[in-house]
Amino acid sequence: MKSCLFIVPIVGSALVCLSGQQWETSQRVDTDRANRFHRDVSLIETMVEGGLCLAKEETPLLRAECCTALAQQLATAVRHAAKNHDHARVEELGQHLRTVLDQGVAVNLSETRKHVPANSSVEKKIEEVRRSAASLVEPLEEELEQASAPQEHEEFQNTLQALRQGRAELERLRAPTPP
Amino acid sequence: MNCEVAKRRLLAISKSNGLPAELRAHLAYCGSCRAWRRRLLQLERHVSSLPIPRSRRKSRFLREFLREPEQVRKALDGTAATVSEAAAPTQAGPTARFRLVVSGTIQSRPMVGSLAGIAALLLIALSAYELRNHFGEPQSSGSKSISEPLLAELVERDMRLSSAGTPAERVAILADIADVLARNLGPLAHADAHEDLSTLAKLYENVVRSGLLHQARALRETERLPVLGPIADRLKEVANTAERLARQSPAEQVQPLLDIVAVARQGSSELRALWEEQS
Repeated sequence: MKSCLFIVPIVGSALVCLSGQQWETSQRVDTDRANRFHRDVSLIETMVEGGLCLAKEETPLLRAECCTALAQQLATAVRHAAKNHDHARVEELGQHLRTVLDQGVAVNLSETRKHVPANSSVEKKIEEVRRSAASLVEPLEEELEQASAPQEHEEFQNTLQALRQGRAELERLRAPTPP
Repeated sequence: MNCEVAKRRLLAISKSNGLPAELRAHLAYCGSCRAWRRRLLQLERHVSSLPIPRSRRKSRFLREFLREPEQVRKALDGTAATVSEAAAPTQAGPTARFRLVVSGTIQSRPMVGSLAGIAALLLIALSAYELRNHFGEPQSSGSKSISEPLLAELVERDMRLSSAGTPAERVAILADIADVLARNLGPLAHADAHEDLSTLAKLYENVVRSGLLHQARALRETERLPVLGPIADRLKEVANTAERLARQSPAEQVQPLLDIVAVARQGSSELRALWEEQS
């Protein structure tokens, strides 16, 4: 049994190293989370308030309006990140913006349209919300396309594509013109 | 010079060194010190011939090393059979004998081998983990990072809320949002982010009071217990976590944490009241 004793320090030191590593990783994750929270605090507030708005509103049309407000804040944040040449952030926020336009605005407007007759007052409201959302994306697309440096233009391609797809979803909801 | 000083000097001087004149003069007239010096010299002479006690471990090893080949074979069982006669302990050199003794010891203790294997595996796993940490995982860089966990999670919950058709769905998603926010309590408390922690406390309060409790009241009576039970438990857990953090945090961070404790506890008891009033 005495011969087994040499294993004790090996196993002990291995466990100490492992727990030290885990502590260090957990500290790093905590610091990272705190830094991100500080950086995104205004968007986090927007998203939480937006969530409360979405939980409160009963109709899809009103929820589409809540989502348009969220999209507006995200578009402002994308513009700000582009000015700071933070390409990774532009791409990330651009994806969030597209998600909100697709799954929030477009889906709820489409749901509203299913239950209303053409040329009704609700139809006009649908078109109003749709235009309002689309008007957030168009100027942002132009700004990203006219990015100063050519390599920056390359960096924004994914975001531009996401924004175009989001706008295309809204275009599909354009009110049919009367014959 | 008195006798006491003379004896101290004699103790400090080695046999080979010559005696100082002052000490020699004392010894010339002091018979007692002369006799004492004679005993001292005698003792010094005999120290080198004192026997050194033998090491038991060494003798045991030597006994095993020089043991009869038949005994060694018995200890080694199968291993001994594979050893050729030419390599037998009596005929082979000391290295061969040593190998036989060592391999016999290891074979007779299979536990040692398994434990050593476990230790080795543990060290290998640890090294792999260390390497992965250094080279595998992308290091987060604060402002220029692709992943946005909290923001992405909130966007995802909001989109689920935008298509949620029933109060039960909304309650579940709002409870999720509260949990997502509560996961940032520890990081903000540890980072001494007082302002951000206050913002988080306000957001948490809004989600619980204006969202979760409001929607919970709209639940059908039969839905209340199964939907609200687990959520009430989660709120209690958040209250306990925030309370523990408050005990460890500096004074300026305590208030937002205590606000969260109060909101979570009140939320939990109000949800409990909602399903208890039906019964």
